[in-house]
Amino acid sequence: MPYRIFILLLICLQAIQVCSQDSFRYDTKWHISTSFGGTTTLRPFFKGEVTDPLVEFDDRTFSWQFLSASYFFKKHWGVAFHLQWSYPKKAAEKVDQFNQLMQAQYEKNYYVNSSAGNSYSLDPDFVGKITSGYLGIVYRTEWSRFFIYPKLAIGITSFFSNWGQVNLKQRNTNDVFEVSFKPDGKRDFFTFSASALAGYKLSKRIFLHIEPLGAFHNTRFNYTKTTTDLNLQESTTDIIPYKRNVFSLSLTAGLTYVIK
Amino acid sequence: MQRKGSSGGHLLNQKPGTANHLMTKKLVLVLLLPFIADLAVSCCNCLDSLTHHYSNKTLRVSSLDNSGQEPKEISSGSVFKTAYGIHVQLLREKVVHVNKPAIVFGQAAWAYGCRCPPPDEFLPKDSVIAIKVITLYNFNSDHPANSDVSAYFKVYSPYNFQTLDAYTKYIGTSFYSETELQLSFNMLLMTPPASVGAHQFRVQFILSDGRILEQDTPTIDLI
Repeated sequence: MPYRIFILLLICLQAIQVCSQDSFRYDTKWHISTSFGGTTTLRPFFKGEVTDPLVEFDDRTFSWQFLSASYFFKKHWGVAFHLQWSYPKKAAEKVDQFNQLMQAQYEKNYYVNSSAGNSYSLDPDFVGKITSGYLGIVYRTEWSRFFIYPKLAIGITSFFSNWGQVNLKQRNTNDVFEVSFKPDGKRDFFTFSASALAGYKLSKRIFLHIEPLGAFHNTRFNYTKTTTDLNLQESTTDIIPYKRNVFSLSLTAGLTYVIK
Repeated sequence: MQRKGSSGGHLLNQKPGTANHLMTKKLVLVLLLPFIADLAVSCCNCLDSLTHHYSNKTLRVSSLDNSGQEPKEISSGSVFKTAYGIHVQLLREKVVHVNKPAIVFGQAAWAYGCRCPPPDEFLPKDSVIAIKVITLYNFNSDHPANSDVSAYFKVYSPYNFQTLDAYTKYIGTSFYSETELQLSFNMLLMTPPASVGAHQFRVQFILSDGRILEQDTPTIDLI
């Protein structure tokens, strides 16, 4: 019993000490931080098109907010900038998925030979295929050890769409067709985001934080599917639109370092 | 104001043995260095180039069953009429060669690089001026036996079709590798005959010297 009372006393003392400190409050200007977590879209981005594996985007991804910086020009107000990489499935997996889709769609009548641009990506693995960059304002509320920084920002979400091609040799005939899938090249999408960085000050310079972030971007790009009879050199085209309103939610956790 | 070490005259007019003259020699040497280095790397040990003339000698043809992923040669039996083709082998022989004139420095595109010109060049002595396919059986109402059905065939290499006329221009040119003396290609029947049954074709290569190389395919049932 005395042992428990002693522990409670220590906890109370710690709480009193934390609440009585105000030396960490509002006296910093520059913060940088990095954090890791996950991102999910609120509605599925893909609707079962054959070109889905060619788009370097996924509904659920691992995310790395590799650089975030805030500058507080007033007691409560500041500007914040952050860059985030998200990691959809690996290129080889997506190419396999595309090849399987092509086989499933055409193998009944054709011998299928497919390829996709994903396989020729030269980026190293640590570079995320989805890049988001935001610039916005941040409002600071701090207590002695705890803090919360709500942010509103605008920025760009960028991801790549690859080409795909399939050569079809018709069974029991000499006919050969080529089906190509070409994106129209748009890869940067204007984005709004709202987030709140909240956490605990481990020391005067190092904070532990979590950051829930909601973002909205609107994609407007198309794939053109061209089917060519290689003998007759006659082509038909179809448009596969990717017009989506994408709401996503990220939750990351990491460390903030106070530079000044 | 007097310029130290300057005679004020043209560089080439300076007297030998003076400090300025030595300076000029050094300057010329430095400016020549890149050209000397370029010359050093371009002095390759290249083989003598030979120009050969070749002649088209022998024609071999066989029937193809192209119903699968890859065409396969057949000598009898039946083939889907939509998947028939002819495999052609044209054997060419070297008949004479002449030495190419020696390359005078600066006259060739590769004179400033460490690349040798191709050692051999093969030029046609007798060009193929036309490839014809004659049907030996009734093909359709417009093409009875012994009529020309060349327009119904196309030369196919993966994912590319060419008419026989277009391909003839391609094979009439020069080449640089001895392996190309043996030419093989596939002609696919892109317009099937009106009726099923036995079919046979004669392939003719008409040469610029008036010769005609020809061979018949085996008789195949097109079904």
